[in-house]
Amino acid sequence: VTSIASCVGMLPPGSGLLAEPPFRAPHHTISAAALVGGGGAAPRPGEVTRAHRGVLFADEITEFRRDALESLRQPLEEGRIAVARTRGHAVLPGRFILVAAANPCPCGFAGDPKRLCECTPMERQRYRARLSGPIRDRIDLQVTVPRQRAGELLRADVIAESSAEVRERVVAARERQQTRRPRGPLNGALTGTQLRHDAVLDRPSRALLEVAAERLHLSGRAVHRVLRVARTIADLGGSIDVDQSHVAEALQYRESG
Amino acid sequence: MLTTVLARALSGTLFGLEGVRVEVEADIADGLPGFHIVGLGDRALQEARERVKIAINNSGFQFPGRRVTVNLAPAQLPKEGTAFDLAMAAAIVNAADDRSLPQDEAWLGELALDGAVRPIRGTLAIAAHLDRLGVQRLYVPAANVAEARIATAAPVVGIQHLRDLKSYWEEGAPLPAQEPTEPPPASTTAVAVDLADIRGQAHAKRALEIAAAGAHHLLLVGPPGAGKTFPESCRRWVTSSRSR
Repeated sequence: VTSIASCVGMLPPGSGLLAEPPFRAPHHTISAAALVGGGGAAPRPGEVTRAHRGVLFADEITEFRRDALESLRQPLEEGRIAVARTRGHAVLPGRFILVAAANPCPCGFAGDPKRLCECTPMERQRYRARLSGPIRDRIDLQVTVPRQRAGELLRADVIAESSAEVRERVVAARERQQTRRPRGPLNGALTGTQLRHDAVLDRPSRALLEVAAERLHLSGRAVHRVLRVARTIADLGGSIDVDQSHVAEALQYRESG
Repeated sequence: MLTTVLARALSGTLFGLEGVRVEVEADIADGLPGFHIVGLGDRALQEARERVKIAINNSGFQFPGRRVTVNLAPAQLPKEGTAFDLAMAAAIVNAADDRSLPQDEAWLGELALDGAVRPIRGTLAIAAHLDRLGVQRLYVPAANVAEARIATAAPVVGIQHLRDLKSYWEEGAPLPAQEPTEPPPASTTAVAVDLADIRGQAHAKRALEIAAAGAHHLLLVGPPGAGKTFPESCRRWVTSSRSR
């Protein structure tokens, strides 16, 4: 399936199956048609479809055009996109991992411990609103990346984990998902029914999730997303069941949004 | 006296990401010399008239000096692109010599003016579709052979130049299909940044790991220069763990 590349002319001549998932990073001035697919008369795949089974990276997501961003709703939820054009319509695949980056406010320093944010509350609010609730709601993991102190940056003695180590865990987690559902989706795309089956909560973790949902005003969809993330965290830890610590970590990635 | 001759060649195009079967019919009739293409073609297809005509003349064939009409069926489906060039040339050359083409063979490829066959987009999807329809032999641009072979078990013949087809059409000597070779895997990109090179940001890295493991969406929020974009450079690396 990944050789969608062939249709959009991205396959290098003479090559066989692609071994590497796609990575697409459209610029934020992209139009809705280019993002989800459009074209003159016949439907033509856009960035969403090119990123199928890979990563769609949206840097400065708040700078994207409103209509382009909102057009991501369907693929984010369903993994495909229906494109209607004058001369017929097509449903194109588009199951990607969205990785987005944004500033917290126009000047960029809201929430920074050292530097004062120069924006008015109004400006901040308007800026945040560019990433609409429905889109925000569909993003499983929301993380604040603080600025690093120079001292921290220059310290050479701390050895962080290498990509290879992390990758090993990721591969193992993926394998666990595959054993559970040999043909099924990865955790991020599990349906509600599948989720109820795969991520059974014990009593304390259920209570935790209920309280958190209440306090954070989580939507039904958001609760499901937390569950999916918790399932993945459990897989990364090699655990068969989803327990309280997994749910707690998954919830962390909701609050900052 | 026979005043009109007809030949058909099978081809295909893309609609969305699906292959579609297209039948190319060429009719040669008495009348003012001319070349017409009907069947809802786009601009690239209208320009195919020049490409196909010149390519035929430059490959040791003779473009008929009569009224040539090419129809692309189904006629109501809008068609675009250059993948029909080879099929058009096949239909015209064989109509001119009053031969018919096997209807279980299909032709894909764009023609250069000198008759060379250029690669097209979507060979894989089109070949897969033609395979389902029971096509027994596929003629594709040499550069698209590996792709086509993924999609079909039928023999795939890579064509470098329109001239290569002369002996097949005029003497019936079949062209050999390329030996199935293991296609070279598409190149993998080397990634310069390692997660270990990123200072701090343990939280973000962990989120990245979770996103990669379970295919979750991820949003990073932070001040300029904090390194939100940085994880992206190694992002590729983490996800390349999965095949398919």
